[in-house]
Amino acid sequence: MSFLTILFYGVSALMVFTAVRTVTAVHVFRSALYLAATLSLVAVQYLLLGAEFVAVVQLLVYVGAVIVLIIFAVMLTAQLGDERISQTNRLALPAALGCGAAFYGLSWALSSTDWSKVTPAAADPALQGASGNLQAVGLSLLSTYVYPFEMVGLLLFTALVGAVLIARKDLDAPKAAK
Amino acid sequence: MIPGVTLDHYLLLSSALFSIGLFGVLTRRNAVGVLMGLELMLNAVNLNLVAFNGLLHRSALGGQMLTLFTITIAAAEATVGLALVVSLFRARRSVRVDEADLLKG
Repeated sequence: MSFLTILFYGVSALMVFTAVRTVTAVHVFRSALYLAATLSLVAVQYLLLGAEFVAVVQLLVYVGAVIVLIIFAVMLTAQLGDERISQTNRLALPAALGCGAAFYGLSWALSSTDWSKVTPAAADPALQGASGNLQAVGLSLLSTYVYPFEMVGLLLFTALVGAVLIARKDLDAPKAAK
Repeated sequence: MIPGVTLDHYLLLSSALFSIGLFGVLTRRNAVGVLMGLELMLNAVNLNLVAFNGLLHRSALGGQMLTLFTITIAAAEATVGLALVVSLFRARRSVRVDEADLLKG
């Protein structure tokens, strides 16, 4: 076994472990830290697949921003940190059985599919002469995918304005109450 | 390319991640836990897309592009979702999803 193969299996096993701890940890703050570990390991998998830019974006956006937001939410809502209340509802056992069945069905479907019959996508003419993943992603974002790129920027802006509006303190409080 | 690791390994890994995330969404009692399960499911899908791109369609970048857009939209979703959680906590002093029944007749 080569080094990369061992790395793949090690990262995968660790990833499943941290993901299970994310959904089962009693303390929500600890759960958020396990989620950060899982997302970092996903970034390692992206690196192993040769998608360097996506790996960096994963680290920046998920581990850097989304985890910080989640931890902020945990801090702002004091009840979340209380260990005495049960963190799971009564349907934990049926849900575990259902998710196990879903995993079994998915693995059966993917192992009974012959992936070698899939025709590879045609080469993108915009990527001619691009050296390396970073340059190819940059060229692609500003040529083939320029409209989705702009639209997603608009969506992000709208979501930010919406989030500020929703989380504002005096959203519907009467003015006389102040 | 990693010797001995095929597309099936990645698909199996991401379906395991997806099922674990689904379990979190179904069983967590507080809204932030539900959102964390959702993030796990989104990451499973992203891993699938990058694996298809890297092992099946190597001359195009569709999978990686879709992953970048999914990451952006997931960030937007997390922002709005957590704002809703904070707003819910202000209104009800609770973030339990089974206690958020304002719209129940």
